[in-house]
Amino acid sequence: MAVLFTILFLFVGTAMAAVAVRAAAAMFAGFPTAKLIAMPFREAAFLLIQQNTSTERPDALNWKLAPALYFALAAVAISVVPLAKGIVVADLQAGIVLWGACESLVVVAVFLQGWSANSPFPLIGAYRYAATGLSAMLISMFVLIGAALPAESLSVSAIVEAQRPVWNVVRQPLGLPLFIMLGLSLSLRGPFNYADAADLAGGTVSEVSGPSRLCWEVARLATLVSFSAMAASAFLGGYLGPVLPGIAWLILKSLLILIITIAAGHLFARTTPSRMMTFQWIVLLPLSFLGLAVAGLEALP
Amino acid sequence: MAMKVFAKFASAAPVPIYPAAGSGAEAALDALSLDPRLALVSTPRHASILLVAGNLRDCDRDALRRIHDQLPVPRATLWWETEPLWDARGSQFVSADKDPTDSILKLHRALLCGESASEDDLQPDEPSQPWRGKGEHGQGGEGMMGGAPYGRPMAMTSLDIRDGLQLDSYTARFGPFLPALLPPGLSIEFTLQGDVVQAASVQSAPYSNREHAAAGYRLASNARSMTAQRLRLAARLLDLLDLRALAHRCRRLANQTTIKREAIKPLLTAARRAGAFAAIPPNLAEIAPGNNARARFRSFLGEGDPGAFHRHGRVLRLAELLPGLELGEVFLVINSFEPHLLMRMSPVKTDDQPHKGDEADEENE
Repeated sequence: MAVLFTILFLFVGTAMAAVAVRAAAAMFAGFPTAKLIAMPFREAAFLLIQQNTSTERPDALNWKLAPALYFALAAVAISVVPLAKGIVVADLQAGIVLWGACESLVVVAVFLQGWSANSPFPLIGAYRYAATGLSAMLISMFVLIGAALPAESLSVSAIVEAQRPVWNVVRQPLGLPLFIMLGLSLSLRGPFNYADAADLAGGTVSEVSGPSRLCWEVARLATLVSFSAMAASAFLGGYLGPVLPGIAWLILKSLLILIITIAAGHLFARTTPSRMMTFQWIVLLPLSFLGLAVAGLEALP
Repeated sequence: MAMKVFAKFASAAPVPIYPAAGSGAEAALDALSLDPRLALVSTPRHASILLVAGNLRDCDRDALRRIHDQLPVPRATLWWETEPLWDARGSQFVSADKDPTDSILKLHRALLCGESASEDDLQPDEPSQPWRGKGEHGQGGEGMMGGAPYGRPMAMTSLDIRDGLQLDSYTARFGPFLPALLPPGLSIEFTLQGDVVQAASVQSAPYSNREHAAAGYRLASNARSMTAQRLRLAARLLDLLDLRALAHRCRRLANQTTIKREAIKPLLTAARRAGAFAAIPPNLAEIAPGNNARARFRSFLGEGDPGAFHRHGRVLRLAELLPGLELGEVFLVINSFEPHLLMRMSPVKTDDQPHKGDEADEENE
């Protein structure tokens, strides 16, 4: 039951995310928003028809595996998120540790995608992501530990239940914005998109076409969905809410996070990788320490 | 039958076009990007139509043929106001006075539905130069990696000019048809360590403004045209900063028949709020006091004047400005110069097109 619901959540969520990404791009650019619902599916159909190109002497095996790994990490990560009370695929005592492991391995998937093409732009995208991703993952770990402190548990279900009196977004106002930055980094969007960036003509996907590109884009969207569900659970009380069933609350809250993350991707410029790394290490990481310290003080008996 | 229905469904997606702009075509291609039925993409791997517009230099033809072969199948070439350089099945020609949008849409649909044949490769699928590596993987020769497999030297460690971290350096040429990153026609050879440029050398200059005028477009000295050109430059920089929606708004304004100063202000405000100016390192490519990439970007959106572009009475060469910068910064710097300045900074003489940048500058200044 939980497995079925989670698979549905991930796939339907990915389709909805594809529509939301198109809608946001059209809305911010002032394009007409009619016929948008079918557009991502038409683009997917086009990619299925298009040829899978290759480069000279690529690392063919890793190039094929990278999108699969990226998607698999999104699927494993969402398995620790309770969709409703008692509906969770893997209700682990150390659920956020598994989540953290998955988000860290995203760096490996993205690096493999860029490395395998044997081409300058994808390779530079891969290096850049490895450099900027590390600090983003560190920040997220401190933020998640802060979210876990009130629950006195690393289980995601316990973190949700601990938010019955008050959501973590109120207890720890720094946590959600910092975590959304991680979401931008994990799903390669806007100011944190150093792997598939416009200034590298697409970066790690600049040599990818056809079904391979479709797989990569689906994996990116699945990661966004997985992240949104975790952010909703860690900071917005997950499935908690009156009247509606728990799963409906989680869908609504995840959708809200998804829309905020997509919008942030359009609203903020991306600076150069070295400046972003300085910003992450000097500003964001200390901020996450501060958030953790405040959460620790609040959690004292 | 099912495949035909599937192909028809797919053909209604925005048509991915890789634009290869010759002289006088950049503004027209920018206008095409405003149509939601078309998508101008930044790599040939994402395209199904190669759109060649404007006159090309002879020296750029080989590069165009190589780009053609990078497009995935099914693919076709559409020649807009330029003579076809090759005679391939499926290629189409559109004259200068016609909007190519309908032709592109029909061609794309015919390609996907199998009504039009996909173009074959123009080049043989083999290395352009013979194998000159010493060992199986090019190793051997100097040190461990002195071979030159297929004419490309193996990456070798060399001194880093920025932080002392020694990495393998390699040399690659970018351009002349890299629409998202470089102005049309500009081709530069970079030696990179990681993403830091160690050396740069301009191989071919961008197409000139003089040719824009010859092709029937307004001279940049016309006030409206100059504003439109600056808005397009701002759009290129915004694209590089991943602010595509804002870039689109700039292009839409640039294509209006009258451009009011009040209409630019909201774009400037939006760019400032998005951190577009702050995202560019301060004093990046400062060629004279106060004249840096950020100031030039602001001036494109009507704020301030970057002032002189001479340092010690001399126009800096583009290749002098780039070493030590990250590749992302390099593209920001190059696109922060107006075409006539960029031409003066990229003095390259080619056999088929003597450089006339200075004459064009005098006219524009």
